[in-house]
Formats: sequence, structure tokens, C-alpha cells
Amino acid sequence: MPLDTKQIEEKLIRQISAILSVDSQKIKPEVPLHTLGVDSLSFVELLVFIEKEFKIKLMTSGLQAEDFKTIRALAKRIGKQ
Amino acid sequence: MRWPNVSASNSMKRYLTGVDWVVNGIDYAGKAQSGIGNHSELVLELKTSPNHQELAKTLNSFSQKFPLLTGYPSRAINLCPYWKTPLNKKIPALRLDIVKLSDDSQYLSSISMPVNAAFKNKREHLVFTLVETGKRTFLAITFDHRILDAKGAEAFLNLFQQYYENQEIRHLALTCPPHLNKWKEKFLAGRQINRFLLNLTKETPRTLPFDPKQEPCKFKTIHLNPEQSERLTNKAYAQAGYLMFMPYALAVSIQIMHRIFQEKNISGSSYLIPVPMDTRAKEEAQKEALFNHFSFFIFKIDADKVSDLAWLSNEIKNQMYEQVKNRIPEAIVNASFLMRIASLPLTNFFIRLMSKKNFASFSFSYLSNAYQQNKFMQEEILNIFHLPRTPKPPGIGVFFNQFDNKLNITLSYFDDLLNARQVEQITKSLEALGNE
Repeated sequence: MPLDTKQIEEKLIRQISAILSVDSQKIKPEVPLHTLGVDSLSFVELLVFIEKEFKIKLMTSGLQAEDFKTIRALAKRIGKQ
Repeated sequence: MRWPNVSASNSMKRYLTGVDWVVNGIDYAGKAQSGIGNHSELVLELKTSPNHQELAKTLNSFSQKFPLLTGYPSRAINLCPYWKTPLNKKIPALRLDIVKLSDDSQYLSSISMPVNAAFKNKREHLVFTLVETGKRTFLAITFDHRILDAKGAEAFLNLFQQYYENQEIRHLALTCPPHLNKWKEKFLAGRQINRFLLNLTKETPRTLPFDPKQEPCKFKTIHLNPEQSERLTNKAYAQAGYLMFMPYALAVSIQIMHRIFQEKNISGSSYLIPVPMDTRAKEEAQKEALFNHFSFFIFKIDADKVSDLAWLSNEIKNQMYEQVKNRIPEAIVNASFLMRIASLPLTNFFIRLMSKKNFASFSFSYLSNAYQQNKFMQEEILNIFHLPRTPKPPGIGVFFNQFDNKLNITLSYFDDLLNARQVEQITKSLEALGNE
């Protein structure tokens, strides 16, 4: 059964929490990733996780900010596929 | 006072990781060639100069909390190398040199001097130089790479400021396990890295011919203002994608260096660029301020295609993605543990052997700011930038760092690699990045 956006968000929050070593409670899905401290390396780590978890390779998609800037936008982008 | 008594809680041994040992090997190689080890420098531009006496006094009392700063490498009975800290000896005060210049334009050559000078003895790893020009004030912190990496140096500065403000420091990691287990994992990582490197060096990469003599390393620094920095960041995000500043900065640096390689008629089908990546999680930068916590990406770029920026950015992103996916940086860290069995002269031999294989066209790094405050003691910090002495080979590097929404770019090079016109050409191209 496909996951809904909320469930995808939760998985992404757990992964970002692990990558950045920060409490998942502090990660809000509507906040831009760069303000959480995500940089190019941690973002690539997240994209690798997305490929493994959701079987979607987003690295070649152009990574335009409107689709990737927040966990919510990213979850929607994953949900669409 | 809530500052922890580090000396009481710390044993005399801090085991060195494989990466630490490789850094020690590079240090040994530098000293064998020129007497100068593997040094770098963190530079703070301050709005006003701190009180000299107070600075010297605070540095002295701060150094007493860190006996590790007076250690040196040794080898334990289990054959594991470690950082030996003689706790029973008096800890010397951190050296503070004060330089007064009448000519403001000479500040860069003045702050470049300490990073090109040997430390006074084997127990000195950190030197502070305050440069006052009448118009501007710079505090240069020259550090031994064996005990601090670039991000660690900024994090260490945080500790100093917290000490100055009498704040509590928690969870500072001063010990490290010997890592004498999981040998199968380490050998498999070694095999993976060996294959990875063999694949990268199938064809001869482009490298500049160098003279092994180590004359002073020179620097050019470019300081972008917040508007220029934002423009460059937005351009990177538009061209390479959201958060892809590092791949974009590397791409434009390759293009700039490519023009020099072309002009010098350097042959070879590709560029090889090792890019250090921090292995600390964001929250751990301060906890793991001391010693080395980084690994590498290694990018191989087809020299015939570098004029196409879109292709170049994508290629770097894709290689970065594949290396993360295949856990190459992690394997480098694991494989490097195997190097620890070699003595420093033997490690030096391996490094020289690898140098002959031309493993780097030039060095590159991007460092986001780890110093989280805008003051040093009571003085406002206007900017922070780095002057890394790039070991030969390659002896040349482009380094980006960020402080308070401002980007800085440093070109580090030895004179035998570039003539004055080429230095000017690179500098102008780097300056133009914030304006285009």
C-alpha cells in the first residue's frame, strides 16, 4: 500500500535526524532544509536514502528549490511518483 | 567555575585513528623535506584589537586546560599509535606574537608568515599572531593539522570563547578507542579503496610539475560581501540544484584551473581532485573539535568536457552521489586504519609512492562556518577565513569558507607552480564569481 505524504514526511524526518544527529522533535517539515543545517553532503545522503527507501532517484531531477526546499515539499514530490 | 578539569579526567593516551596517522605521515614528509610540518591557519579579522595583556593571560590559562596541546605521537605496546601527553610537565603558555604594521597593504604577507614557519619544538602545536595595521586587526591562529582539522580549529575557537565567557563545556571528546577490532571490515574497505583508486588512475591525470623544495606557500584571498555571497549561492542553486553549493564551487574552480593547465600544455585526459568532507554530524563539531574527523571524495573529471558548466556540475553531483551510495568516504576512513601499522618513515614512503602516481591535480575544500559566535573575547569579528598550507604535491588549492553570510575564497600555491600573471588571472576569475 503506498504511503501518504504524512508517512513519507515522518520517514524523512527520522532520516534527517539521524544524518544531522539532532532530535527529530526539533525538525519541522515546513522549515527550509538549509536552516536545519543540511548542506550538499547531508542532502546527497538524504537523496541516497530516498533511492533506497522509495526506489526514486532524484539526483538527476535538477533539484529545483520549489520541490526540495522543505521536507513537506520533498514528501509531496516523492508521493507524486 | 564550571569549566571541566580536563587534565584530571584525561589519560595520557589518545589513540590515533587511521586518518590521524595519515595526517601525521604528511606532517613527517613535510618536515623531512623542509622542516615545516602540515600546518594551516585560521584568521579572524577583528573590528578592534583585544587588550594584549588580557589576551596573553587568557591564552595561558586556557592552555592549562588542554595538556593535549603539548603532546606528540608515540606507539603503545598494542602497536597502536597514540598521542602522548606528558601530564607531569609544566604546560607552556600558548605563544602570542604581536606584529605592528605601518602599511595596511602588507597584512596578507604578514599573516602568511607564521603558517610558513616551523613550530619551535615538538610540543608546540598552536601559535597566535596578532597583526595590527592601524586600520585593521587580524588574529592568525596557526595550527598543527595533527591536532586540529579546519573545522576543528573553528570549533576549538568556540571552546576558547566559551572558556572566556566562563560557560560550561559538556561532552568534549578527549579519548578515542584503539580500533583494534573488525579487521575483516577494514581489509574489505582496503580492497574497495584500492580498486577505486586503481580505477581513477588508469589514465594519467593532469598535474602541475613541481619542485619538491618547499619555499614559502603563498596566498591570495578573496572576500565576497553578503550581497555577492548571496548572488553566488543563488547562482549555484539555480545551476546545480538546491543546496548544491559545493559541487558548483568545485565546478567553477575546475574551469578556472583548467585555463592554467591548458596554458601550461599539461597533458593528461582528466583532472583528479580530492575533496575533504567532514565526518562529524552537525551537533558533534564541538564535541569532536580535537584531532581529525574527515574523509574524502575523489572526483575524476574528463578534461575535454570541462568547458560545459552544466555537464561539469552534473558530473560532480553524480560522482558525489555514487561515492556516498557506495560508502567510499566511510571505506577510506576504515581502510586508513590499516596504515597505522607502518612507522612514520614508512608512511612517508607510501605517501611519496602515491604522490608519484599523481593523485591530485589541485586541492579544493568548502567549509561552512563552525564558529557560531560573532565575538572573540569582547571584540567584534568582521570575518573569518583560512590560509591552508597546501602540501606538495599538488601544492596548489582553492578553498571556500563561509562566515556570517559572507563567502571567502583562498588560493594557496607555491611559486614554482604559477607565475605572477597566472596568479592574477586566477584571482580575477575567483573575484568575478560574486559579480557575474
